[in-house]
Amino acid sequence: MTLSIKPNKPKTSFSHAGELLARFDKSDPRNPGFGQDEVEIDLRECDFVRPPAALWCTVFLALAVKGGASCRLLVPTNLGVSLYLKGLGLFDILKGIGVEVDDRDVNPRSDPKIVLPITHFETTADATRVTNTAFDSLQSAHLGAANLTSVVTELFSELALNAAQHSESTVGSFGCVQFSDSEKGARFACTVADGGIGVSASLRRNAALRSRFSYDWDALELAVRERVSGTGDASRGIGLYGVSEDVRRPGSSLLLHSGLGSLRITEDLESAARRTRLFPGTLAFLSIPA
Amino acid sequence: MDTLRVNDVLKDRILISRESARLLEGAIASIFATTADSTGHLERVQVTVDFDSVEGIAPSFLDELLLIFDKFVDKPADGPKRSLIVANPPTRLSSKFEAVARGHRMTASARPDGSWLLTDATGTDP
Repeated sequence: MTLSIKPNKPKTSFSHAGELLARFDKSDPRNPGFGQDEVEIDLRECDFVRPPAALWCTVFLALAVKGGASCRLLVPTNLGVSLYLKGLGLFDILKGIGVEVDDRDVNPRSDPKIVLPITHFETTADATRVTNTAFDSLQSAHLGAANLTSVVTELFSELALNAAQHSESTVGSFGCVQFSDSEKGARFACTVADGGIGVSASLRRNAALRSRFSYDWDALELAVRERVSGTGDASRGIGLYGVSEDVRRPGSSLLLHSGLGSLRITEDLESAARRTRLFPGTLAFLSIPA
Repeated sequence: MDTLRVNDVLKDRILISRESARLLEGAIASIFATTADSTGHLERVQVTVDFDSVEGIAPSFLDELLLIFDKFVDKPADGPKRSLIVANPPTRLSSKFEAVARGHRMTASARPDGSWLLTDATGTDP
């Protein structure tokens, strides 16, 4: 069987997996019964692809390859978008795991705004190394306010640690950090994603929490509260709580997407959990004004 | 005052993992070995951990540091016994670090010199 996935809104921005069609919810590459011989993600008509969407592509295809499928990414025909994704490291990381990517004539170029290209990590030691690499890159690039270097790195580190410690991902985790400057202002974007068990399954490891949520989306609401952890350890459960508190400042936002649930937290103390399309694992996307 | 310079042991500038914090255990043990009385029992302890040259820490790192601290100090029963000073903290004392302190029944406060004081919740600034 062949699975071909195409973003629902081509010609606009492909922002995240929540924009995919509902019929793809049944195609979970973590499932042993995934049953696809070939998987293709078609980005040809995309005019822009944001980091959460790029990491969805990475995780989905990594899981499919792990499951034995032959995989292919059709790159955007818009050369500018392809150049951006090349700089973000999407094509190279996919080719490195065995995905077919025809990126001919998309020549790599140095982009100082890519603070950390999509990078694979598995252990907490990896997460430490990747975080320190991001810090060094941020410091040498002189992007944004100087005092934000530590803030951005610390927030990224928490997301990376969470993925390394709790995801149980068979394909490891992936992270990237990017600076952007648009009419909406300069921003840092940190994205971390894994192909693991998801937040709800992780919290279910703690028997005391099982009665407190029923779905992926209310599990996310619970996960950002202080001292909520799947480990059951009384002193744990500060990571996501800390990140969610830190983004409650002007212009910042956090998107968590795990399984069929997503949660967005913004500056004005609002948090909104909702049912959405499948992310086969967990993704965290953090946006901070620079 | 007994001071541990983190940078003497750990060279990463961003310290995030529990494993990294555990690498400080030997140095902390040395401090306690020199301050314990002859029976090895400690009545009151103040340790300063100096983060000079460190650019960032994560709550997990601080939590593990406090777990190590707990290991060497009696739990408070009838008054303040534990004080940990975080000198030259690389970041502001935000709610996540205060939450870490609460998990160890401690309070965290920023001092005029910018350092943080973590002490037993019933205690006062020494």
